[in-house]
Amino acid sequence: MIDVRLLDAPFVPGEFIGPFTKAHPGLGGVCSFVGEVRAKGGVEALELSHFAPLTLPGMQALAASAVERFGLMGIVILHRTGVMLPGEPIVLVAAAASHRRAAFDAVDFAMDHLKSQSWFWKREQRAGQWHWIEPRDDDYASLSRWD
Amino acid sequence: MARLVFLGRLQDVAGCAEREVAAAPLSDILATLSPELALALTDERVRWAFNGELIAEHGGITLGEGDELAFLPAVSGG
Amino acid sequence: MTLVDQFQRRISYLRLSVTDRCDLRCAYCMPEQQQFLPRKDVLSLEELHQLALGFIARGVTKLRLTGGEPLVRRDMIELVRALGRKLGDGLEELTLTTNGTRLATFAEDLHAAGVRRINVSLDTLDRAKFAELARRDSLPQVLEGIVAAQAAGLKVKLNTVALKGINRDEIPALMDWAHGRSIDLTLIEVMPLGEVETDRFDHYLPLSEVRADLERRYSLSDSVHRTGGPARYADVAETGGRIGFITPLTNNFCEGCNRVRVTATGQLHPCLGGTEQVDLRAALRSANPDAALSAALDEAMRIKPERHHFRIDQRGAAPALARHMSTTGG
Repeated sequence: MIDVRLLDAPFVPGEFIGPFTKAHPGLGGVCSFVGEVRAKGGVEALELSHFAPLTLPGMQALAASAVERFGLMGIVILHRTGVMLPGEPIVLVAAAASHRRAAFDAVDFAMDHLKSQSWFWKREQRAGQWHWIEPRDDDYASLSRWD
Repeated sequence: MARLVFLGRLQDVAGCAEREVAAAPLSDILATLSPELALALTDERVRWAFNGELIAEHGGITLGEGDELAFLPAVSGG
Repeated sequence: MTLVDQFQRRISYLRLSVTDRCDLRCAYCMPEQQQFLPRKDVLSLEELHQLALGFIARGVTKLRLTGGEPLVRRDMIELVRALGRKLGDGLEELTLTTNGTRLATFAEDLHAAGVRRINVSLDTLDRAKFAELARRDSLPQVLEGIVAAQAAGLKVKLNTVALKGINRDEIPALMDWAHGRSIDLTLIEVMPLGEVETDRFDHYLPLSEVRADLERRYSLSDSVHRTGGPARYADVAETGGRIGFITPLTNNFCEGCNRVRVTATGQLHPCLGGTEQVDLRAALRSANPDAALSAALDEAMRIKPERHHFRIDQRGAAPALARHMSTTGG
């Protein structure tokens, strides 16, 4: 199964990973990654905005290309939008495959593309002030590994 | 009327998330904006989406009634 | 607070490079396979605008946009329009140096934005020679661009690099062509900037020799005309035009220096021929850009050297500076 969603409210990753695993009888392995809001550097909140006409279609295309590239049995990509607090999950990627390497790599691939090539804009609140977060050089470097 | 949509930090430069403008050639619309905003929108790292579709060429765009032009700065997700 | 360096020279002229990219590959300027800067290293249009405003606030009255080729940068005209709004409000002149290939497209917009004079770099009117020198067959577009610029009301000046074995024989005809169209011509000696494939010494042509060539056919009389730059001018009796000579290597021109250069990555070079630099991009991207920029300009005034240190008198010698002209802006 391919399950790609934008969520505008907090979610519990385990509630998605269990059913996803069950949906693929005979799999070799499921690899999952959960990204959370860090409390580091005085971050009080984080806000993700998106552009509806492009963001979800882009994530669906990313899921399809990961399935194709790594020969996956299935993939889940969930991404939050809106305001989040430290400790809340931002993103969940899980991949099911016959062999572990494909599952590991697919999650890595999807995360790199979500971070620097998907239509999200992130800002952090520190000391009551919002600051837009620019993509970092090492995000681009991570992405270029998949060229 | 037509609509300009600002994403990410461009919202701070514009002071709003979107703005209604009279339908017109884009160059005329840009001329009515503050220089800071016009420059921010036209920077080469900003992608444009016309009625929800990314466009590669910037030349000769005219916004008609109900058209939407979105300005998408460098992304930072995950 | 105006910008005055420690030799009491008042800095009123900023040459601002808006891109290191160019659609030509002139042999003396950059190698055929030039590695261009990543876009994120280059100042954004907003940053260029903010930077220019910072200089204007410190008394800079003349601004020249350079490159690379400024008109290849996408939406450059928006920057020109924004800066044009400062004309009469601190800024006295906004001008541009271009290779002319895209002038036909932008001439009217430049004039409408308040630009009145432009410099066009052109070394030959021979199409085959142009194609060889620039590694692109673009002479027809350049000529069309010059016509369009004049039609739009822009005063055009030609800048011609004198190159031994390439355009020496053609310079009198080039001057004749230009003066016949009310275009002034300034000749430039090859400058020793950046590694290129051909040994620069091979094309080094002292302007004293070019002037001697011209004086065999024309009557040149030294002009009192000055533009605040390094050029020295002569009036040509037969054509009624003016010819300029820029000789950085054989004549010193530092005493009256009124300018600084900023690269497309926001590096301020107080001297074209020196290694001093101040990082204005870091200032612009800091938490308090206006204050940091002003402090950086003070630093530039402190380190602007009294004179440059160009040398080109040794065959095969490394250039005095490893920086390409396309990076610093001519």
